[in-house]
Amino acid sequence: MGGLFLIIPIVALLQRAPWSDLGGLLTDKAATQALRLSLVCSFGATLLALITGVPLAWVLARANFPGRRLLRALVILPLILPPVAGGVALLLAFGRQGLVGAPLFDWLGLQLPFTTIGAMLAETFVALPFLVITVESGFRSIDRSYEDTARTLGAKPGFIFRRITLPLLAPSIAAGAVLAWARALGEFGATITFAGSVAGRTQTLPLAVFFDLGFDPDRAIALSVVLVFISILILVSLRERWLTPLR
Amino acid sequence: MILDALISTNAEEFQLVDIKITAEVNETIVIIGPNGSGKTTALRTIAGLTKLSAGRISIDSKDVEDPERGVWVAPENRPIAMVMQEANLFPHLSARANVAFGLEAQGVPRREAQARANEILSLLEMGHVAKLRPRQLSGGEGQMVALARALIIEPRVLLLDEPFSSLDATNRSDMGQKFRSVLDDYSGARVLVTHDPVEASSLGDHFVVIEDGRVVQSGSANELRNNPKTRYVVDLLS
Repeated sequence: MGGLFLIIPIVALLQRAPWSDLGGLLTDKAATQALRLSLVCSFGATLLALITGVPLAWVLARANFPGRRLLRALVILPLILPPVAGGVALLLAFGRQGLVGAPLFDWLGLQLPFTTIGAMLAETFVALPFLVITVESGFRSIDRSYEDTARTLGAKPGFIFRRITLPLLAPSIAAGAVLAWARALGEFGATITFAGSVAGRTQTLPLAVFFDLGFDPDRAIALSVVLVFISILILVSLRERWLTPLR
Repeated sequence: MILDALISTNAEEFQLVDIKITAEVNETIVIIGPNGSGKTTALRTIAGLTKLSAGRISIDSKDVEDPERGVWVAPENRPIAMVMQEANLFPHLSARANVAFGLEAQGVPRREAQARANEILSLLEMGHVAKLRPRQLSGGEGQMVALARALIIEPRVLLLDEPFSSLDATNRSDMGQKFRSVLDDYSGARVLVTHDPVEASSLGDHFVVIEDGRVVQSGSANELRNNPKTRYVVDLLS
């Protein structure tokens, strides 16, 4: 039953998909615009998540300081927070009158809401926790004695990080990045709240699907099919991690 | 004297109190004691991986640690190398790259480091495993590679933590001989931790017996035999 409930919608989507027009629907300007924007924003968000998330994961896994549990709780929060609430929070922080947004605008003339960068930040906000928890568990799974041994062989911490820790961590970083990217690509709630749905600027694939559904359902379905295929691709790339039952 | 150490620590689960370990050039000191007596912790303090709470460690008459005077030299700057219990070869590197690691860490160019790794591996009759990954090696081969990796940086003090514990009995005596001949050629001091009396007597010059974090007896094999101070020492020699 449960399996059917999960499978039937996908089947319905694929069955109703306008396969013959697919090429035309996906190459028209609005669709390619949304697709391109989605790729730019999701890869940008993944990159931001990597740059900020790997050091954060290291701190959570290795550093010892009071308040570490609290920090982890705060990092995981966006994971369970409804994205719309996340979007509102982002608006209050980085909006024109926001906590950080106001000085940013007054001093630098920088405005984040309703811009492509804003959409990217909204995606980063929801995607970052996925990367952090995956990489953190990667750090924890590395046997510390490798790093200890390396030190006794005369290697400095930076050298050890580059030559031992990072290579051993690579599978976790890759998995975390794919997860974060998938989450960023599908982001809806936080993006629409914080960045709106401006065609060509902040209207990413999921937003385009939602707004097309009313007047051009075929295109909405075609774009959904694209999202389904991307998901399948992700599943295949992570099959080692997810499709093997736990032992 | 190469190594002069007086070790007290409470940094790990095993506390150590006033463990005195000294080693001359070419000497092999064996730290022996029952499981859980703190032998490995003693070795880790010499390496700098565990901090002293009191005492002093000096190598070649230079203090590397003296908590009272605030002296602490990081493990990577101590003239030591350590071979851990489970060989601990870096799993993502070939045997040769493992051996070359210490040289590359010192800034030796990769080609040169790898050439010297090849040299030392063939010296140990391990040339045939140079390109293999650690998981493709037998336990004994892994230990020899780990030994090569430690020796290549020419440490003044070589620290060995039960290097044969993961080997089976036949492999053990075989490897023991090979190991011994390699160790004999190396001119620094060796500190070996073991709980195996055969291993201890075949490799050691001087013995430090530890029980419950304290030295119960220290001396040559004969001194221990002539005047065993505890039940454990008696059983050890029987």
